[in-house]
Amino acid sequence: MSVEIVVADTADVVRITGSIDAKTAPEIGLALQPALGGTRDVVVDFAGVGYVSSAGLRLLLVIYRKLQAESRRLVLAAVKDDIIQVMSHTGFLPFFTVAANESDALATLSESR
Amino acid sequence: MDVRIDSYATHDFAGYRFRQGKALPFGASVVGNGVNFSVFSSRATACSLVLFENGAPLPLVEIDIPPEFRIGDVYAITVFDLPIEDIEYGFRFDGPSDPHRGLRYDRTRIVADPYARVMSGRDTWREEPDWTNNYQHRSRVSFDDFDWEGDRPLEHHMSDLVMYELHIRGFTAHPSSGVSAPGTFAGLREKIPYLKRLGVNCVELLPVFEFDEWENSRTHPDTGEWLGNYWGYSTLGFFAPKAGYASTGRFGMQIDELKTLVKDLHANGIEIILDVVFNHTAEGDHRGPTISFRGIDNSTYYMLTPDGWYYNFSGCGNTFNCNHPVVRALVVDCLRYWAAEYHIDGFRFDLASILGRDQNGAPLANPPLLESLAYDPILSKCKLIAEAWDAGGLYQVGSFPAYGRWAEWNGKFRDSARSYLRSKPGTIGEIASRVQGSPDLYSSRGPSTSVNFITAHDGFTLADLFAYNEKHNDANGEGNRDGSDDNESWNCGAEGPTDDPAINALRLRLAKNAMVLLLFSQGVPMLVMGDEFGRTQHGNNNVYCHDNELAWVDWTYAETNAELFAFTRHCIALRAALPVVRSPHFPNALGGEGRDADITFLGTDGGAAEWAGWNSVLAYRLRERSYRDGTPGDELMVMFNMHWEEQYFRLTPPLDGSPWHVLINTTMPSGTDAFQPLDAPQVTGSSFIAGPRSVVVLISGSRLH
Amino acid sequence: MQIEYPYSDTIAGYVQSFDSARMIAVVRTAAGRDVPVTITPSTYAKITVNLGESYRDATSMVPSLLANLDQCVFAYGTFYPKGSEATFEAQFLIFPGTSPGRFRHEEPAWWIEQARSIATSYVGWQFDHPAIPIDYRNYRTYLQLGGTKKGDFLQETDTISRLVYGMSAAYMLTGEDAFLDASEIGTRYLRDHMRFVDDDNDVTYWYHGIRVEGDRETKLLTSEFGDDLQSLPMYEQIYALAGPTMTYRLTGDPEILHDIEQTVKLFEKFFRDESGGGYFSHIDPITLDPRAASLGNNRARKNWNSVGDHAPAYLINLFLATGEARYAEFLEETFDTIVRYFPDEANSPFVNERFHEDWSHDQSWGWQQNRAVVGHNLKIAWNLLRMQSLKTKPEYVATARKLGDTMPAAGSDLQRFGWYDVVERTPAPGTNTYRFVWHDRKAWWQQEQAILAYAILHGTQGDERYLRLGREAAAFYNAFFLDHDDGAVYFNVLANGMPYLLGNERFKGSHSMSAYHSIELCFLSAVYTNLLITRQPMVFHFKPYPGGFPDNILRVAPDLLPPGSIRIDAAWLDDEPYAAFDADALTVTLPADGVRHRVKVKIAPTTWLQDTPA
Repeated sequence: MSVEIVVADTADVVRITGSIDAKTAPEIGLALQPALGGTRDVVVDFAGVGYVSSAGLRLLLVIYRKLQAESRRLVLAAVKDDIIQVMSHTGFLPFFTVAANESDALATLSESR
Repeated sequence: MDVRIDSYATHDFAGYRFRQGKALPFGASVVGNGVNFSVFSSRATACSLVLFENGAPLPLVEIDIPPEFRIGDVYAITVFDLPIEDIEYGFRFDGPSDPHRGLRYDRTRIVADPYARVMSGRDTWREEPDWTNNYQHRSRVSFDDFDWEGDRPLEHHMSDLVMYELHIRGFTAHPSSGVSAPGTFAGLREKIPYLKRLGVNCVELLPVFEFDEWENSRTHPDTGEWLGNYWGYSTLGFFAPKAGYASTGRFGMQIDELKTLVKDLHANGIEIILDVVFNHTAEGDHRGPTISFRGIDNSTYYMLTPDGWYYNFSGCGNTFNCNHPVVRALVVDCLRYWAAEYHIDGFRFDLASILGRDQNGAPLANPPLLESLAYDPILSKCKLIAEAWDAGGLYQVGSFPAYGRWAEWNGKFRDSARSYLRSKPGTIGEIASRVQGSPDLYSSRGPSTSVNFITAHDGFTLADLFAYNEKHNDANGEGNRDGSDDNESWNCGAEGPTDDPAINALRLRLAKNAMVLLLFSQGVPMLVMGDEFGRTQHGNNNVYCHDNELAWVDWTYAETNAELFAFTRHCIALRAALPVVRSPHFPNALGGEGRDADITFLGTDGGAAEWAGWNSVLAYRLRERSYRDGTPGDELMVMFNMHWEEQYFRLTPPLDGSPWHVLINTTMPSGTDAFQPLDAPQVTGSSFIAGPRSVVVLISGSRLH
Repeated sequence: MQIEYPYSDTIAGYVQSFDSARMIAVVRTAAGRDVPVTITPSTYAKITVNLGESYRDATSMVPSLLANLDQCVFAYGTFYPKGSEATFEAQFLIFPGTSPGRFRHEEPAWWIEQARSIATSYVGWQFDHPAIPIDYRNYRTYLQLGGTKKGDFLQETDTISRLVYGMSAAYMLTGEDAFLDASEIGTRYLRDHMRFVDDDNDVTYWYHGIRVEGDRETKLLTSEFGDDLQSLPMYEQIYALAGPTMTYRLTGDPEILHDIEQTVKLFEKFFRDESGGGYFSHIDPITLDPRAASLGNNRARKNWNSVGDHAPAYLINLFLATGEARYAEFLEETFDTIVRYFPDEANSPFVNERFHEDWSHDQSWGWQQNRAVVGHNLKIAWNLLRMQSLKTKPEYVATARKLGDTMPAAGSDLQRFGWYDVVERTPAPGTNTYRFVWHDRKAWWQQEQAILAYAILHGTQGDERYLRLGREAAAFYNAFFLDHDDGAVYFNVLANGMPYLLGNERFKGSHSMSAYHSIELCFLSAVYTNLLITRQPMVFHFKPYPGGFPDNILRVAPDLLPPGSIRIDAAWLDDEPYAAFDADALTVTLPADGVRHRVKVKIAPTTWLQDTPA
C-alpha cells in the first residue's frame, strides 16, 4: 500500500495504491495529513485501488465530512466499477463526486469555481 | 497516551494481549484499540474464545477465558490489536453432558455468539459450503456506525398502513426484475420507484436474520431441482442480517447495505416491518446441529420436557424458551437493537402464541415477554404484530395478550373473505363483521388491531386462489402431502391455466373483488408481493423450499396483467384518499374524533339487510362521522354482489343530497373499473345494477368537487 | 313525436338518466332533445373497435355503462307508435368508450394502428404485397369493395399521388418498410411515367393519368373527369404533389424537391393571377392560358381547390420539410386570400367557393351553383389554425372559430352525429334548414375535415365545445366507417350510419378514394390528439438519404403546431440512441457519413400550453 501526494494547480491529488481496509486505513489517514491539513480541494485517485472495505468506506466518509466542514471539495477519480457498485449498495456513494480520471476530476473542480 | 485504565492489556497468550472484559454489552464490541467479547452461560464450567482468520478451517488462536474474568454467568474478555475485518470468532464451552437433565455441553464444538451482529459462512446465497468445516456459521465483529443523515422511524399511524409482504430474494431474483443486484437488499432498493407507484407505504420482509438456506436441503427425486430453506423461518443469529441477502455480503458489508435500504425506504415514505422468528431456532431437536444456543445453555434457551427432550410447539424441532427471563432479555435486546440501530418500524412475530407459553409450554395468562415488549421504552412506537397461533394447538386470534399494543394477523379475515368471495353460503354474517375491522374480536382495541389479509406467503397466491381447487405441491418432493388442504379456493371451472376467455375474465374479476374487499375494509390491509399483477405459484401453496421461478416474482406479469395492477393501484390510492375506510375506531363507535365512520347495512331494495345464509349480497353505507356536525365528509355505498346473476339495487340518496358517483365497478374493463374521486362518473338514476360476481363502490360528498 | 307506423333510426347522444327497474335510458341528442331509449332483452351492445381488433361485446355491461351520466352512446332502434308519444326500442347500442369522457379513439395508439391497417390493406390490394415486389405497373385507380381490381387500365396521377401520401404518412407513424417502399417506388413511378418536363417554359407539370394495356402506355394529358374535361385543372397539379412532398419529408431526395419546385413554378407562371391575386382553377392544355375560351365555364375562374388546397395538399408539408421562408410567404398569401374573399357571412354561414377572376361570386357553375360542400368549410377552419401556428393573425383565428361555431347547426346531424355532404348555402324560405342537394349520406372525407378541425380548434383554443364536437365526429366515424370485414373505410354511409354500397360509392379505390384522406386523418388525428389534447409523446420515423437534406438537417415537426408546444425528447439512429438534435427547433443533425440511416424521434408535449382537462 502506498500513498503519493501531488500538488496540482487547483487541488491536491492523492494517489493510493493497494487496498483501503482496516489495516491500511490508519496509515492512509496519516499519509493524507498534509493534504487534509491544507486549504485546497482534494482529488483522490483510485486507479491503483483494487478493494475498499467497510473501514475504508468509513475513512473516505470521514475525510469527506472534514473537508465539507471547511467548504473544501472532494472528488474521487478512476474508481473501479465494482467498487462504485459496492459504494452504491452500502449507501456511501451519494456523498462523493466521482470522475472518470484525474484530469476530469481536476476539470470538474476548476469548472464549478 | 491513552488514559483509560482498560486500554491496557494485563494478560498475554500466544502473542495476543487481553484483559478482563466488560459484561455489557453482550456480544462483540469495539472498545478503543480492542474488542470486548461477552457471553453468558448458566451451566458451563469453562469457556474459551476461538479466533479464526476469515474462512480458515483451523483457528488462529484459542484463548481460555480465565475463571477470574467471569462475573456471575458472564464470561467477558477484551482482546487488543485485533484486525477486526480479517477475523472470525466463536466460543468453546465445557460443561456437563447430561441430556436428560437438559445439559448438552460439547467440548468438540465451537459455537457462535448469540449476540453476533454479523455472521459469516453463508456469504453468498447458495454457494456450496465446505461441509468439512467444523465451524460453519461464524461470528464476526462489526462497525456499528452509520450516517443516517437524520433518518428516523416514520411512525405512520397503524390505520394508515398498506402492508406489502415480500421475500428479499424472491422479489428481485428473476431476470425479469431488471435490477443490477438480483435477490438482495440492494435489489429491493432499486424497486422502490415501483413500490411508490403501487402506493404501498409499508413492506413486511420475510425473515432477514441470518439463516442457513442449506438447512434440510435436498434435490427433488424426479426433477433434480434444489430444494432448501428458502423462506428462512429458522434463525441462526438474531442480531445479524443475512449476508446472502446482500450483494455486498461477500465483503461482509450486509449491515451497511440493509441500513441503506431502510434509509431509502424511509426517504420514500415506506415503513419496514421485520418478520421475526422467536419460536424456534435452526438447531432443531436433539438430532439437529449444535450451532450456538444448544452448546451454550441448552436448558435456558429451549423449552424441554422433564426428560430433557425438546418440546415442539413450532413444528420445527425445538421451541425457544421465551418466557425464561434470560431468553426474554435476549428477545428484548434483539428487538431494541433492530429498532434503535436499524430504525425498523415494527415486527411481525411468527407463531407468536409460543411467546405466551411458559417454560413447560403451558399458556400464560400474563406472559412476561409480551408484557415487556408492549411496554418497552425503545419499542414504544414500533408496530407489534402477532401471528396469533402456533403449531401446538393454541389459536389466539382475538384473544392474544395484547396489553393494548399488539396487532394480530387476522386469520379469520382470511378465511371469511375467501369463503365469501367464492359465494359460499352462510358467510354473509361473518364478512359483515370483518369489513368493519372485526369488532367481534377486537371490541376493546379498535380496527387497527386487525391486520387483514386474504393471502400471505403461506398458501395460494391471489391468482392461484381463483385458479385451483386443490393444492399441487408435488414439486416439494413430499408427495403433495405438505401444505394446507383447507384453502377455500375455487378454480372458476378449470384447474390451472386455461384459454377459455370467460373463465379468465371471471378470475380477473374475482381478483379485483378481493382487492376491494381487502383495501376497503377497516383494519390494516396486507398484500403479498406480486398479487397486484397475478403472480402464480402454479397451484403450489407451500413454496418454502423453492429457490426458483415457482417462488420468485416474475415481473413480466406486470405487463401481461397490467389491468389488475392498475386496478390495485387505484384501490390503494382510494384508500389513502378516503379516511372513512381506515378509521382508527370501529364504525358506529361512540366517541372518537373526526375520521370516524358510521355503517349501515342494506338490502337490495334499500331497506334492511338480509342476513339469511342463502344471501350472497352485502351492501352497506359508510358515512364519515363528521357529517353529524354538518362538516362535509365522504359517504360510500358499497355493494358486493357475489351472486352469479346481476343484482338490482335501489339507491337511497346520500345524506347531503348530492348525486352518487361511481368509484369502482369490477364489471367494467380496465381503465373504467376504478376512478379517483375527481374523475368519478356521476350515476344516472336512483338504482344501480351490479353485474354478476362484482363489486360496486359509489361515493358522494364534497371530495368530488 | 307522433307516428303512425314503426320506423327505425339511429340516435346519438349522452345518457342523462337510467331507470334500471324499467330499463329505460334517457339519451340527450346534440340538439338537446331527450329521447327515452328502452333496452329490451334482445338488445345487444358493443364497444367501438379499431381495424384489426376483434369484436368487443358489451351486452353484459349495458347496465353499468348506462349508469354513468353523460355516457356517449349510439342507439339504433325502432320507433313504435304509441298514442301521442312514440317509444324507441334499441336493437343495438354502440359505445365509443366505457366511461363518460373516455373515448377509444383518444387512446394513444388508436390512429396509428388504424393507419397501419389501412396501409397494409392497400399495399396488399394494389401490389399483392408481400407476395411480389411492389410494382406500380399493377396499380389501378379502381378497387372493388373487397379490394379486388375491376379490370380497367386507368392509372390516374392524382390517385397514385394520394396513395403515395398515405404510404408516406403511414411510414412516418409506424416505421414499416413496406410503406416506405411503396411511397418511394410510387414517387419514382410518377416521375417516370406521369411527369412532363417543359424545358421551354422551365416548368414541370403532370399528366392526368395513363392508360396501360400490356406494355403500351397512353398518356392522358388533360383531365378525363367530367367537370374538368379537356383542361389542366390546378387541382390535379396540386394533388400530383401531395404524395411526393410527403415522401420528401421522409427521404430528402433532392430529385423530388426539384420536381416540386418546378411544379410550383408552373403555378407561379401560369395559374397565378398577378393583378387580382389568387390562382386560376384551370388553364388550357396547349396555350397554358387561364382565359382561353376553350375552357368554357372553367374560364378565368378561381375556386377553393385552386386557392386554398395548396396548404393541406402539399404546401404545409413542403414548408415542414424545408423550413424555407418563401413557402411560408406562399402559405400566408394563400390564407390571406381565403380570409379576405371566402367568408360570406351576410348571406350564409358557408363560404363561397367559386369565383370569377375579379372575385365576384360564381354561383351558377355546374353542380356547385349556390351550394356548400360542408367539408370544405371545415377544411378551411382546420388549415387556418395550422397557419396560425406559423404566423399569428387575428383574422385567421376569428375566421376559423366563426366557422367552427356555425358549422354544427348548418352542416352536422344533430340527431345522429356525423357530417353531411353538399347542402344549399341558404335555407329554404321559412325554415332554418340547409337542405340536402342530392342526399343525406355522409362521406368519409368530410368526417375527416370535421374531426381534424375540431381537434385542432380544441387543441389550440382550449374550448370544451370544440372537444365535444370533435369527439362526436370521431365517435361517429369510428363506429360506422371502418370496414372490419374487408379492410379500410367505407366511402359513404347513410345518415343513420349504415354503409352505402351502390355505384361508385361502393369502391375502395376510385377517382375520389385512394388511401389519402383515411390515412391523413389517422396521421393528423394522432398528432393533434396525442400532442395537443391528451398530452402523450409520439414516435415518428424517417429515412433520409445521405447528403439529401441541405446541411444534413432533418426537420421532424409533425405538423404546424403552436410554437413551443412540443419538443424532441429522444432520437435514435438505427435504433441506437442519438443525441445530435435540437429539441426545441425540432431538427436532427444527421451524420455526414454517406450512410442512409433509419431515424426515429420521440416528440413530446411541453407544458407550455395550459392544460385542458380531458
